Amino acid sequence: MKQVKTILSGCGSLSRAVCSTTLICSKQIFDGGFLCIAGGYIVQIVQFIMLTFIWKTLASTNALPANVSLDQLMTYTLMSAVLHEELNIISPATSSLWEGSVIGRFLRPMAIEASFISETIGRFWVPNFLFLGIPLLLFAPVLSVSPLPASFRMGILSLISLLLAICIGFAIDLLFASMAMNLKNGCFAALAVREAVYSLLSGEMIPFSLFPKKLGMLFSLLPLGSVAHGPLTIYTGTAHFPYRVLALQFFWTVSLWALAIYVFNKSKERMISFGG
Amino acid sequence: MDNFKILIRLYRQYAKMDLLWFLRDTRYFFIQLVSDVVSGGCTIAGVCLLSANFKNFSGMTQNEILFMMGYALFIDGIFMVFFMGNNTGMVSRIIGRGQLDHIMIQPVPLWAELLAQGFSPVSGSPIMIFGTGLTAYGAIRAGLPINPFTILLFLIYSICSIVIVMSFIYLISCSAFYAPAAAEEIAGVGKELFSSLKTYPLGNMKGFQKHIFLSLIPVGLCAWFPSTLLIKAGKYGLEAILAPKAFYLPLAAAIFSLIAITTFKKGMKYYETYGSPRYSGFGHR
Repeated sequence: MKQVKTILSGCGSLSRAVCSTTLICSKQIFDGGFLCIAGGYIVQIVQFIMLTFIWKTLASTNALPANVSLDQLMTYTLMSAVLHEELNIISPATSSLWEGSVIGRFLRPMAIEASFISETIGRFWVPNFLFLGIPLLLFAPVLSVSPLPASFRMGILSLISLLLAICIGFAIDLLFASMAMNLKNGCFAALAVREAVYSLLSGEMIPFSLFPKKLGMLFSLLPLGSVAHGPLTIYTGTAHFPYRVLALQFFWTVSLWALAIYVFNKSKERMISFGG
Repeated sequence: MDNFKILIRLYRQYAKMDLLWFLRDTRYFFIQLVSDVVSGGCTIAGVCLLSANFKNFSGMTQNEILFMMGYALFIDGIFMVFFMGNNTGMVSRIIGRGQLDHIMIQPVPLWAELLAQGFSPVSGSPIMIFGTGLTAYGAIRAGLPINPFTILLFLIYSICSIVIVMSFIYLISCSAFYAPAAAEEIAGVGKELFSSLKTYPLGNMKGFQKHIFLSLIPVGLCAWFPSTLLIKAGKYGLEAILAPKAFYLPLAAAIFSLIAITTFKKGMKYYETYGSPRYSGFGHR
């Protein structure tokens, strides 16, 4: 029985199965699709450079708000690019529906959620860090951008905040996958809405401090605001009350995971995948 | 002339098919409609909200930025209406999957089929309608006159912008001739480049940086540059139009399309010689 379990789970335990899946997925980008992935990285690098130019222009005309310095803004933009995959989690949950490959995940000897999480880490996080994160961190000083946190304490707090943001991101991803299941043939629509809403409401691309004050405040209280805005403001030292940000993130993590597990389990029963 | 008639007939057929799809699957159409409107709204909202906090964001007033966002959405709308169907705008998929053969066996020229098969006047229309409305609203708010002259100029510049977008996408998609599996999705990268970056005003950017975004990475030519010209034309009339700057966009569109066509023809020659690995024993799909 022990032997069967070992074979079925790949390496004998969930954590090792997760590691194995992650490793296999991270190797997959070298199977032929690297050109597209590299193209995606180029878009992100161009976007980063463009935003730094715009922020510099705003600073040179003294147009930046009083509570935001150019250095903080640049670091915010840099870290949002470096941590793009962690702050904008898109697991294969939705895409596997229209590919029809979702059934394979249900057959694996691990929870489907764990399967999606390990695939996301392997397929997106590892290559993103190696081929975009590290080069950007090395290149940033050339553009006069500091990659360091505001202080050691803020660095530690932002790490905790990042972990909570990741938890929220996966919960939201499961909710969108559930929506896609209910939309049946509308997976593309679910993904398009999600990408658009994420880019605006998470604060990943444009910091809320540059928006009108009340609106920025409102956005930061929403669940998506805790995903990118939370950890990045703590990292750059622009969060006035970092512990409140962490508390809010914790609240959203617990609420959204409870909701995601319930909705995902309900939606699974309605899942239809034509595949292709 | 015959080819032109064929093109019109093809457009008619694809329009009919698109309408039939809408009538057959209205629920999905409305899902798509909501998705398009939300996507379009969120894309422009970021920069609009950014401009709301600054009196003069990158050399443009808030209303002028609104007009520019309308222009950007209108370009997206043209893409959706004319090139979204059948992966015409994502041509690297067609090339990479060996589906060019499906087009080549049709009794029409390749260019005519590629131009017509993406035509989706019903399913692709929401963004175009949204873009047209926002452009008109932005123009009124910015105090720009709406007359046949400005509308004509707007249409000419829009065509130039979409030619640049499509040329760029087709240019990078040509890599799929040589690396079908690796470059199958590369058109999406080109599309994403324009979708995410064209909405930023480049007004106060330094010369060299600005020129990069107006030549090598032509995102500035698909919203900011034509919008500033249209705003000038609206405010100062013909004087602004006669300036050499006004001819830069059509010239850039011509150069980009020429490079894209030449590269595509070269890729086709390679394709004619080596075919598609899709049909080989070791095909990637």
